[in-house]
Amino acid sequence: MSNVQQIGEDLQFVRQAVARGRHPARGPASIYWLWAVYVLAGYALIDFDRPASGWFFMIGGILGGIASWQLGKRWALRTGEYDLEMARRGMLHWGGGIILAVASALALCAVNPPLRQGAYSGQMVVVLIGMVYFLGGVHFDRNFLWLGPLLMAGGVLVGFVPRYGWTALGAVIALGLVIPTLFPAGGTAGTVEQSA
Amino acid sequence: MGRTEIESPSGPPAGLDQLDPLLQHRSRLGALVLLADVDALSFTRLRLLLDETDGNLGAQLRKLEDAGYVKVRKEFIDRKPTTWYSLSAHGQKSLKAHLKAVESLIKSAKV
Repeated sequence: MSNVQQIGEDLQFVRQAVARGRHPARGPASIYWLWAVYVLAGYALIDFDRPASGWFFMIGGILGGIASWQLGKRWALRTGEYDLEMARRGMLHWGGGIILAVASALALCAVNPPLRQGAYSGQMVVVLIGMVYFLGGVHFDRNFLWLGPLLMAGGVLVGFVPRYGWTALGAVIALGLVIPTLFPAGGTAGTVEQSA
Repeated sequence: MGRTEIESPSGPPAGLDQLDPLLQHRSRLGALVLLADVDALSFTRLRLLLDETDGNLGAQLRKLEDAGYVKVRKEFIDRKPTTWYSLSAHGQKSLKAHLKAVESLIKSAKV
């Protein structure tokens, strides 16, 4: 006859295995570096060549999304854990969230023409993207819990900075994206990557 | 070490006869539980998470494969052979039934 203690020990073993596999929902560091460069270059363009920045964000955003998918796939193969559902959720959150943020800002500008003046529309986009960042912290990487509100505050405050405010904001956000990747948040993903 | 046997004056406790014999091994149970949460795991990843030796894990996974509980796919990544395991529909159903039986068993043991 089976016994309770044996089953208890087996369940404890399974629980430990599951705990070992639980790593923070942070993808490869290369994705964070990619977007840090994108943010820094794009925000600097707002200060130095505003018309070009719109094209940069649009084309760079699409290419960045494709590159992120590929980097995430490569990382999954190297770590030995393939979770398509998680990847889809990430794409839906970041891709869908940012598209909705931009569309919402454009819609607000369309119904309220004064908002189109100056950098208001850009500020609105940044504040809404800050919200997407914050929700990214709720669902994926805790780092975005503070980076989101920081971006939202920066999106408002940049309106009071006469020169190079966007470049400074881009630099702060870029640093906020890459610095946490230098300090692993625990878990076993890195260990597996080395041993796989 | 003493063990608490499940005793019942009115026959076997609830859930005992529904336990899946194949999943009464902790490595096989652990592998299926881990696979239930993702699309696929490599052999290396499973070995690390289950803290098993190559030989033992390979033997346990072979049993799961023979029973149709897991699907196996082999491919080369960076010129290294990698074996991927994923849970089959049959494996998912069996795991669910086994865990339900374990739950019933634990409940009956508490009474």
